Amino acid sequence: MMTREQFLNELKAALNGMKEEELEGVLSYYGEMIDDRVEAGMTEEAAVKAMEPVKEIAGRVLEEAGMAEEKPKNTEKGNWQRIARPADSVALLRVQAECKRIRVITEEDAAAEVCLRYCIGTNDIYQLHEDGGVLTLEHKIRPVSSFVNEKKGENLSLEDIFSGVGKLLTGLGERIVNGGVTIFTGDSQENEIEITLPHTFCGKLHLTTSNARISVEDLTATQPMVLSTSNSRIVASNLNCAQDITFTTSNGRIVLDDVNVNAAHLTTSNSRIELEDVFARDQIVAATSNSGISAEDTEAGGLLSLSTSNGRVELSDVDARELVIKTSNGSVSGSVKGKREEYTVSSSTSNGANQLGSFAGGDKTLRVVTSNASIALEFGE
Amino acid sequence: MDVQMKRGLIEACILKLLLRGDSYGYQLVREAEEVLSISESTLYPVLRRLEAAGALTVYSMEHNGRLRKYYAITEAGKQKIRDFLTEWEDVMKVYDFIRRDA
Repeated sequence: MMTREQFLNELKAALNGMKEEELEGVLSYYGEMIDDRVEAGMTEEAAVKAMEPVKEIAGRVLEEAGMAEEKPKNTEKGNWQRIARPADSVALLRVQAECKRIRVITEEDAAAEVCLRYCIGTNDIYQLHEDGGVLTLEHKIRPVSSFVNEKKGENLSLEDIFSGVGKLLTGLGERIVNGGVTIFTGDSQENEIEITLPHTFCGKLHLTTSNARISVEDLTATQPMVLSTSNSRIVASNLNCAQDITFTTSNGRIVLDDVNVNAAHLTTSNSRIELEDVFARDQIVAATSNSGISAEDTEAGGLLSLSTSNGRVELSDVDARELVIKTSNGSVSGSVKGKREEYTVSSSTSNGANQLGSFAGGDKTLRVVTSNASIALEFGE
Repeated sequence: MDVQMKRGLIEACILKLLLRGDSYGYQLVREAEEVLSISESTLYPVLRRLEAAGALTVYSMEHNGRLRKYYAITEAGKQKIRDFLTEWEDVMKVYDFIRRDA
């Protein structure tokens, strides 16, 4: 469990690089928020827990301060590598990476090639393997210790270690927290891997990374897709997949916009799940914690399950054969497609108004459970 | 909701709350609940923007042995509310028109 002090220290670490004055403002603001909650009767622990996750706060603050702006791509500089293979020779693509960002894009006129592009900085270690149609690219970031080790033999002073870290800090990469030390991932130009696939990709796509954002744009895939990362977001837009997609992260959002799949399994923690224009022939199962879920124009042929805790669930024109919504300490509101009489409904909350109630009706089922908050769902005309 | 629109709505709500009297962060988050739910991390940049625009001023006052930041609306802030209301009259006209024909 985190104390006020720990929370503020983590926030400070996450905002490393920010101007002193701005940083003080943010810290005193959140310190005051916790103090006022404690004064209102909460325990320190509960007051800290009521704050959003540090990563999310830092992300927003930095975004607002214009520090999180994405740098324009500079392909002229740096040691860029490009690997291309005929698409039909790659059955499964596997990327394991610690980089900042993995972008999966498609090109209209791509010559049926699978192409990986990445930039090698002095702190990047890349290894490529190919075996039986499996193309694997592994990326690792050289730890600070090995950087410092290079200076061994010389008389290593404390200043040297700090100047080593300082040198790493001059890079523009994503910050990675390693054992409590905040370091920048060095001087790689981009610290991102770009994967270009033909518009229709017949192989399996399997990406495993950590602390890195994964984004997928404009892709039509015929095989299952598995994306997993941690402490960062997964974003998919204009994605078609004939089979199932499985997205797993933690402490980062999952955002789906204009997605058409057989089934979607989405799991994160301490962050939001946002669905817009998502259609699944079979089921959609989305789970997070300590944050909200929103679903707009989202439809599942079978089960549509949205579950979280300590967060509200907002629906707009959502449709499913079996709709299950579970949360706590957050309201459930919005609209469900289809007429009231098409549904058999059961709903329950505590310490909150329940405008939905429970009743027997049609074949579709709707189950809503929350606590300490209201339930208000409307049906279509 | 459109991000830009939401931003404008939140700013106007915060200013309206300050019209009732000077307030502090936690109270603003709680009172805003009446109309729209905002989190601490949403409120912070809003306060910063309003301060930068001269719509509110910030001062610290001792409270229970610690310093608490209070926000006060300025004349420019009051004008911002009036501008908001005038602008939205037009928006409401369009809303009524669309609603009628829908």
